[in-house]
Amino acid sequence: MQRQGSDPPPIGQELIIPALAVGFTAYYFWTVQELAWEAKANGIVIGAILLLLVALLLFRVGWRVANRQATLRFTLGGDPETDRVRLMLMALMVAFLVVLPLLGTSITLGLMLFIGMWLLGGRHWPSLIGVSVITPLLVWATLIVILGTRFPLGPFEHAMAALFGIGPVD
Amino acid sequence: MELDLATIADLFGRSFSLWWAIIPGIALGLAVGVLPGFSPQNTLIILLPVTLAMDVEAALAFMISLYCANHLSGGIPAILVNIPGSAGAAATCIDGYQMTKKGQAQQALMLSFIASVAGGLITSVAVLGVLPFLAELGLILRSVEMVVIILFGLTLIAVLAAKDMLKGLIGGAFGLMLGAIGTDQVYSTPRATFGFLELYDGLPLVPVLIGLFAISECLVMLEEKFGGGSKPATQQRPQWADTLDGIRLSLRYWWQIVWTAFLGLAIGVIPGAGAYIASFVAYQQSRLFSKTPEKYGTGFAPGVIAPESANNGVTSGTLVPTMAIGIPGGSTAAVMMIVLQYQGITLGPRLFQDSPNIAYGVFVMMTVAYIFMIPLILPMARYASKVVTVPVHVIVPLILGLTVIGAFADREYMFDMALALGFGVIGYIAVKTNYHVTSILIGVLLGPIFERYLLRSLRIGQGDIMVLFSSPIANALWVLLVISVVLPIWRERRLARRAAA
Repeated sequence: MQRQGSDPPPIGQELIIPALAVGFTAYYFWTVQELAWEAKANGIVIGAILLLLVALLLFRVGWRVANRQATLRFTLGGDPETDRVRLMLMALMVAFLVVLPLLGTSITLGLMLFIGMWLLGGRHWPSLIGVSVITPLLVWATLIVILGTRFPLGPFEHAMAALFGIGPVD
Repeated sequence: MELDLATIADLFGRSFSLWWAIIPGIALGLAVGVLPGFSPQNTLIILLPVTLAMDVEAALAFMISLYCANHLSGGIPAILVNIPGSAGAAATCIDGYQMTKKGQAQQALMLSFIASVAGGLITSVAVLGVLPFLAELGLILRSVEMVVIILFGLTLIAVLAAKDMLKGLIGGAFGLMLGAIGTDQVYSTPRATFGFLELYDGLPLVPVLIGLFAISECLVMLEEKFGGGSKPATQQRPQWADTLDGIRLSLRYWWQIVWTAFLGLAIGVIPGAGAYIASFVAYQQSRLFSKTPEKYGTGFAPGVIAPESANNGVTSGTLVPTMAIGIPGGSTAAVMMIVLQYQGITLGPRLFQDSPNIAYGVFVMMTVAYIFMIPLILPMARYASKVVTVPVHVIVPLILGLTVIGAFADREYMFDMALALGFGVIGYIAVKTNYHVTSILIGVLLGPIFERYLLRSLRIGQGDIMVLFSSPIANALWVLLVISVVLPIWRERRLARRAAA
């Protein structure tokens, strides 16, 4: 319940998923416009229902805003500190994907774990080093060597294959 | 070969003697099932050189043990960290993770283990008795009936959306639209693929699952450390008493285990119907027939039991059409078929005359595998539940790293890793703005197969929509579907009226 005299709650964030859904539906409609009915019937029926549902949501949001029960400001409820860490973590994951083909799975995973734990406030060195060394080694031994999954290979995997003949060469 | 008691006893004896193949199969299945992205069929494909070199019965025992254990362990991360190990465990998150948040991780794990093992045991024993009849079920249920069965699963969107129907339905419809990505079923023309060849086969399920559940959950978990969010309640030390409490709860809801296992078996028999359909339908039906439906979603024991029992009931069902009519009930069954055919065994009706030790032996091996699982997994709940005590700064990078790697493992595309991250952001926004991620996932999972069966039906009916009401079985299912949608609404309104009065 809203307290007397307090600001109305922001509800702009509730429109992000509908905006994504409508944007995608519009794109879907555009890509199927010249296809046979069998290829688009299902998507068009669901898309039409989705648009109707979003229209109802917009009406509900508009009604609440008009009656000053809510504002269109955005928030996901996080405090600035958490949001900053969250963004850094996502940036780290993007960097992980960029570096993965260059350094290979084991080294990149080790670096990602170390930096990730550091970003989240981990300062206990034995844990930082232990987790970021043992986990990639386990991944390499089980997933790459034993199960033979074709993860990107890098200096570590090549060195193990060249020195000990363990794991895939390329 | 007559299936008398002496024959069954002989098959059991032979299966028990294959313990050396069953135990490694269980161990590998448990390990692989915990990691999203590592499916049993991919593991079996990788291990084909090993299984092809084994004696046929040992190879079957190994593959079946791995398959069953994999279905069981998908529920472990679903309960502990809200990340389903496989799509079949997605429904387990709904109540399982809520139990963990209430400090009942051990009980939830025990419910999951016992429901899985009991569900698998009951159905594999039952199959031995009714195998010929079940094989016919796979032939009777056609596209028209499948459309209605999938709609049963889709009605769970409405159930999940009970708190905010509009948002839940938008989430579900968004998922269904995303499920329409990829080439169409008839002409193979690409739709909404953004120009990515990787999306021509449709949206890959593993990265979506990982993104919506694992990555989004990691982003939410940060609030426990930095934002003062609610941390899952944890016991100081895992106690055997909690394990016993889980067993007690399982015994209390034994009937749930039995009937949802048979529901899973029936759905598993239908070729192409996966464990995720069974688990969502079982959850929805369990809630429908419950006297306390309002407790579902709050950490309620039957909410864990129903999907897990059905999920393992599917394991027996999937092998029925494989053995009886030579049509694989699922992708893992297809891999098993390859191994059997390599060994010179032809699957189908003649299998029961030519190789009865294989035809019936498969289900006896499955029973034995579940029996072996009992002592292996029961102590596991006590130790596995310790995962929730791992600090956020360790568990979050670990989950992120391992699950993003899991996103790669299924199809071996770097694209899938990026897709998982993208869906992680969508999942996080959905969680924070109260759009149920499970609704989106149900849409993505069931959307493509709904479209496939709907189009197949419409083509059979030459475009006439009335084909959907053309069979007595389908009509009976339609009636049940309407009841299962209308009944909860009517019941909730009645409860609301009583509360108001």
